[in-house]
This record gives sequence, structure tokens and C-alpha cells, in this order.
Amino acid sequence: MFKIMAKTTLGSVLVLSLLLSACSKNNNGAPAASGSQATSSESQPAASESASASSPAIDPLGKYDPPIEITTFRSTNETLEANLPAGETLDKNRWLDAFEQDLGIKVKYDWVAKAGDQYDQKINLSLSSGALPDIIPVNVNQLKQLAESDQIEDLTAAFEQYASPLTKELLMQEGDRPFNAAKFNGKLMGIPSIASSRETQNFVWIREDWLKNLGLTPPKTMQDLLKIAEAFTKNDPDQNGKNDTQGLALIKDLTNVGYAVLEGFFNGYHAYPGIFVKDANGKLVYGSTQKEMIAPLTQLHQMYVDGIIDKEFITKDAGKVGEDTVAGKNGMFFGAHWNFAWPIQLVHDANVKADYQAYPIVSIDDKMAMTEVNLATNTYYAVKKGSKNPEAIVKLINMFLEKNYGATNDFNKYYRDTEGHELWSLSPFSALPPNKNIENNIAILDAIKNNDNSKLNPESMSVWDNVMKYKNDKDEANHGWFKAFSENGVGDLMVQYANDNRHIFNEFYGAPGDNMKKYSATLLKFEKEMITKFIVGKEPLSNFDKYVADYNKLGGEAIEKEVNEWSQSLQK
Amino acid sequence: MKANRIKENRTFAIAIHLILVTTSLLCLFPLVHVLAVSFSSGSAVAAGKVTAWPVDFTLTAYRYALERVEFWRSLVVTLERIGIGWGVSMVMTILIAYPLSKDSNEFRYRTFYVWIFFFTTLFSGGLIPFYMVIRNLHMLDTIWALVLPAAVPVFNILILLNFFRQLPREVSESAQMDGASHMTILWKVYVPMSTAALATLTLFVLVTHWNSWFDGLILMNKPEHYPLQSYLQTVVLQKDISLLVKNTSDLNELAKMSDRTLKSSQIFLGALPIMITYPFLQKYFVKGIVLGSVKG
Repeated sequence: MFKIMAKTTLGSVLVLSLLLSACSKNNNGAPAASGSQATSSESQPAASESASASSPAIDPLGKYDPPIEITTFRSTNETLEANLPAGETLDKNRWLDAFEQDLGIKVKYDWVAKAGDQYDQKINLSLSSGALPDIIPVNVNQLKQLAESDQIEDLTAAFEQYASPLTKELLMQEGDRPFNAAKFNGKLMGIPSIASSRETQNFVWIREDWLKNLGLTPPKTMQDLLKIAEAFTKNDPDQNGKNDTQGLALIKDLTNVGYAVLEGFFNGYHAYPGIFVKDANGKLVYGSTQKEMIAPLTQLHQMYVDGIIDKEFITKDAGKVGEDTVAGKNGMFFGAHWNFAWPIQLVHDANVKADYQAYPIVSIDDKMAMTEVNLATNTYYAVKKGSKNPEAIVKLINMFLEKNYGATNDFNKYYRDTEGHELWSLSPFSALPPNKNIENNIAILDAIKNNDNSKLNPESMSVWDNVMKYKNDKDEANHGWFKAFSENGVGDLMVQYANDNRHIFNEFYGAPGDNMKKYSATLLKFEKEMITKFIVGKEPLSNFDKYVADYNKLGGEAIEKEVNEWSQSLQK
Repeated sequence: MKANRIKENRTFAIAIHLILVTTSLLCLFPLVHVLAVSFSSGSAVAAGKVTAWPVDFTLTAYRYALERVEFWRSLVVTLERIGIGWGVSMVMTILIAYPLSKDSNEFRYRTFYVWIFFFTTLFSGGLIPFYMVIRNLHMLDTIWALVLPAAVPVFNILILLNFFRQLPREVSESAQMDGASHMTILWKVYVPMSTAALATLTLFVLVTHWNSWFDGLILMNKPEHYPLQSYLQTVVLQKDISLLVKNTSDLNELAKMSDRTLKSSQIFLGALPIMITYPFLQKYFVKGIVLGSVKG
């Protein structure tokens, strides 16, 4: 008994002493904290002094003296590593030198990983083990987590004050969507590493040599397109005497991949699967569950029954369908502009006569078909809470844009040199102006028309070289480039789409909310399963209403509500 | 009657053989396919013409693979890891297995220690705590991060422990009477008598270190420090073609996406050393495992 007493008293003494030491630690901590506050409040007047001293205030490209050091992560890839200019590495190169010399910012990497799954995994490990660098490149989901757990700085003021006019202009080329996505409670928590959303647009790619073989003309309407697809299936377009072709290539993913998908087809019926669009009342609704889907689905089912779509498409991914396309088993697909490099160049490699051409997507009625696009910006630069210089990232982006696109640009030194090194990617911080490729395309098309390449920047120059290699030397490996930049080639169509403003944006582009996180995995699976069933006829289209009801019950309604709340919060 | 039984046995044997042959063919086929792809031309592969035999035979993929600095650099890392890892874990295994192979009356807390070791195989802290431990020990980005976490392979210890136990006691007792210490008995008597088991364990350690890729990916901070399998993983993993194409360089990259021949050649090269080592160690393999499992 006495023993137990002794033990408990001993225990309580121990606990007490622990508590005391904890208290004393707290006590020690408090002055330290106030000390740092004091220093920061000291430094603040200093900052505002320096700001008021050099009254045009803040210099977006001002140099830190003494230099500061910031840490970050970066990704790399094989092309980048295979193309390093002589004597330069990821740790030591012209961009990092420029940042150090002109801005007084030394950039150090906590780690470097190959882009892809392992990069995401390492980021998640770093985030969850609390090993944050000063500047954290994250996706919108991770940005939200960091913002909610209060681990990162509010960059609203830093961006307002330090972003150069050029930065503001280029980052806003696509409107304020990328910024809205990075705003939480009205505060900007990350600087978007912007990319072109419009380039997720779709075209329809058709074997032109097959059209000629059958005496058909390019499609002007969806009805034309359907006729072509049927003829490609039934009229032996490759003239080999065998019934071995299909009209429309399709992969089991149905959407999103950018090759042999269906967005372009649905868009022709003014249905917009996978994205949120405004309905007549201005409310955001989910495209995949709208009644506009019924007509194209009915048509697709018919095409499946008629063998125009591969009966085995549900087992084939992009790689597999790509093999069929290369082997000349199908002659038409909906896809992105980059399809001319893959798989079309391979089609041409395998059969020199094979000749794909891109066309704008077509409409079922007299209303123009609009192509649906998603926000392409998927990286945001966040700054660790307590960083001394949260504005450093803004200055770095200022510098990146200035050296590439500003009045004092040195494109050959910093973006791309004449040997084709992609120098811009040596910088761990980047932003690619969304209109860049359109502007380049216009310049290239112009240059080819007038046979004058004097006005091209080095990036466009490399395209010009590729085109000329085919035009002058008949180098078949560059046939794709030649086609893309001939009249009405896909490079031209990109410009036409932009001029006609043929884009419908996904109206939801923020970080996924709680409901979306909870339900979307299940719902996406359910949706894909149902659409596939409608196409192959396992589910009659009379059940479409039931599908919509089920979808809403499984969480679709909750997500829609959440998305609309989000949208209203933007308008405030 | 007898004839019937023989007949029955024969059908049974044929059925068994059929099943075994089919299973082994099924296991073999992917490797044969990879080999065929690696020797075929890129366009034949892109068109899906290659199954089990090369189409348009070419060695370009191998030439290209062997010319890559990254391939050799990561091979060196793997060899280094195997060298150190093998040494460390064999010494640990032998030193731990010996005392644990003694009876409880010779080594009082034997059971307790066995349980402690066994316990560690049942639970693990999970990825993030593991990562944090390595980070706080400042082992990130060093070869030790790949070697030390695998330094004490408990399964191997159990095998060796049981192997030691079935060695005749008389041998160690007579050595003891001649005045040999435990260390002498272990290194001069037990180890020379256990070559079969040690060869098996060597193979286990080799294969584990050769095949591990995940630890390299998460614990190394630079691709230059990846071991071979981590490097191969980054090469082989199918690129996501939905990846947004932002630049002309990406487009050039895309045109190369059918580089399945190159990937295949590297997979094959990566598997080759183990395939070569295996037959040499195999004669010990069965013996080592079976003997270790007999308890005496």
C-alpha cells in the first residue's frame, strides 16, 4: 500500500515537474516570440522607410542586399536532362546565376525528382512530414490544405505591390480564373504558374487520303461527319478489298485524355460532359447529367451497333487504340492539337500515304459548336509561413517573364537558344503566357506564307526549321509539322478557334470542396460506367432520367450545391 | 485393375504436367514479349505487330540504352548498395542468429529476444514516420538510407537460426571443451558448416537490394543518386499522354513516346544480372531453405 502511494506521489511529482518545465518553456518562448515581433516591427518601418525613400516605392526587380537564400523543390525529366547546355546543371545554370546576380536570391533545392507519380509522392511526404521549403510548388488541392492548416503566407499584398505591370498583364491573359482558384477567404495564397487553358480544346482528325479514295468532302456539319464515319466503315476506304476498318476511334476512358475521346462529339450536340456550365438561370450545372446528352448518346449507340465504333473499345486504352490508328484500322478521331506529333507522325512513319488532317468540330444544327476547355494552370507557388521575404517569389516570376517576354528580353539566352535547348525550363519557377502559342502560330503561318523567317523568335524558328525540313528535303519525319502549319492545318485552326472564341470554359475551377472530395471518385466511376453502358446498349437511353436521379442521389446534388456556393463566393 | 490404375495415374500425370507447363509458359511469356519488343523496330512495335518474335530485328535500342550515362550511374549505385548492404546484413544476421539458436538454459532470455525481433515484422510505423526517422538521422540522400533500414532481415535470421539449431551439438560442445570461445565457435565452426544456408541468404539479400525501387525514389533527393530499379521505374512508367503539352519540346518528346523498344531493352538489361546469378546459387537454394526449416 505504502509502495503504491510512493509510486503515485512520485508519479505526480514527475508530472508536475514536467508541467512546470513546460510552463517555463512557454515563458521562455513568449519573450522570444515578442522579440521576433519586435524585430519584425523594427524591420517593417525599415521596409516602409526604404519604400518611401525610393519613393516610386517597390522595385519589382529590386536586388536583395545582402543576398537571401530560399529553398524549394523541383521536378525534372529526361528531355530536360538530355538537353542541358554544356557546363550547366540543374543546380548551377544561367537562370540561377541571374536570380543570384540580379535579384540577390540564391535558390537551393531541398530535393529534385523526376516529374510524375514519384514527384507527387515526394511532395506529399514533404507536406505531411512538415518539411516545407520556403517556396512550395503545389497543386490546387495541396494549396488548399496548406492554406487551411495555416502553414503558408498570404500573398495578396506581396503580389499587389511587387508584381511588375508585365507580370500582371501576362498572368491575366486568361482572365482572373487562375487567381480565383488560388484565393481562399479572399486571400491569394499562391502565385499561379500559368498555362494555356484553350489548348485543351478538341478538333476532329480525319484521314484525308481516305476521304479522297471515297470521293468525299470534309465535314461541314455533324450529319456530314456521321456519313463519313459510316463510309469509312463500310466502303473500304483503304481499298484493300477487306472489310477491316472502323469509322470512329474511341478509347475506354471516353474523355479527358486528348486522343480518341468524345468531348468534341458531344460538343457538336451542345452537350458538355465533365464540366460545369451555366444554365438558363445562371446556375452552374454539371454537363454530363443534362438532357443534351441524350441525342449524342443515342447516336453513339447506333454507331456502336453498326460497327462504326470498335466493338472492343471498352478494353482499349490510348496506347492500344493508338496501335490501331497507326495500323490504319480507323480513320477518324476527336483529339487535341498535339495529336499531330502522336500518334499521327507514327501513322505517317508506318505508311507514307496516310495523311491526317484536323478540322474544326462540327455542329448538329445551325448553332456553332463550341469546344469545352478546362483550367490548365495546375501549379501554384506558395510561401511557407514565417518566411522573411514572401515577396521573393513574385520577384522571381517578374524576372522570369521579363527575361523572356519583357522589353529587355534576352530570349536566346533565357528561353531557347538556336541549338534548341529549352533554357526556360532550367528555372524552377515559370509561367507560360496563355497566348504565347497562338501568337507564335500567327507569326509562323505568316512567315511561311511570305517565305520570310526574319521576324520569328527562336521557339517559332525551330518549328519553321521542322516545316522546312519536310518542304525542302522531303524529310518524312517532319511531315506532321508540315501539315500542322500549312493552310487550315491544326496550327491555323488554333488561331481560328481563338479568333472565333469557340471555347466554353469549365465554370468550376477552384480547389475541390468537402463534398466533391467525398463523392467525386465514386461519381466519376459511376458516370463513366453509365455512359459506357448507354453506348454499348447495356442500358437503354430511356433510363437516362434514372441515371441522373441516381447520380444526384449519390452526391451529385451536394456537389452542385457546393459548386454554386463557391461560384457565388467569387462574385462577392 | 492394375492397368486401370496405371492409366488413371497417367492421366493424372498428364493433367499435372499440362497445368505446370501452361503456368510456366504464362510466367515466361511477358519476358519473351519484352525481349522481342526490345529487338524490334519502333514502328513495328507502335503498330502492335510484335508478340513473341522480333519484327525487323535491330540492336539500336540496346546501343542507345548502353550509351546512357544514367543507366551506368544508377548501376553503380545499385552495386554499391548491394556491396555494403550484403556485408552489413550478413554480419548482423550471423551475429544475431547465433545466440538465438542456443537453448533457453544456455541463454536465459532467448525467447524474449526472439519475440522482440519477430515483433518488428508484424508492425511498421508507416511511410511518413519512416521518412521522418531517416530525415532526422540525416541519412536522406545517402547510401545508408538504402542500406541501414534493411540491415536486420528478420526472416533471414529465423532461417539461419533454425539452420544453426540443427547442426550437431557435439561439434560445438567439443570445441568448447577445447577452450574455444563463442566467437571462435561461431566463425570457425558454425559459419563454415552453414555455407548452404548462407548462400541462400545471400541470394535473398541480393534480390531484395537489386529489386527495391521505392525507397530509392522517396529517400534520394536527386535522380543522380537513384539505384538502377528506381531509375528504370522513372523510365518505364508509361507517360501520361493527357499531360498538357505546353511547348514544342514536349511535342518532340511525344513523337518519341513509342519508345517501348528502348524501355524494353532497359527492363531486360535490368533483369539480366539476377537471371545470371540465380543458376549458380540455385544448387544451394533448395538445400538451404529445406534444411533450415527442419527443427531439431
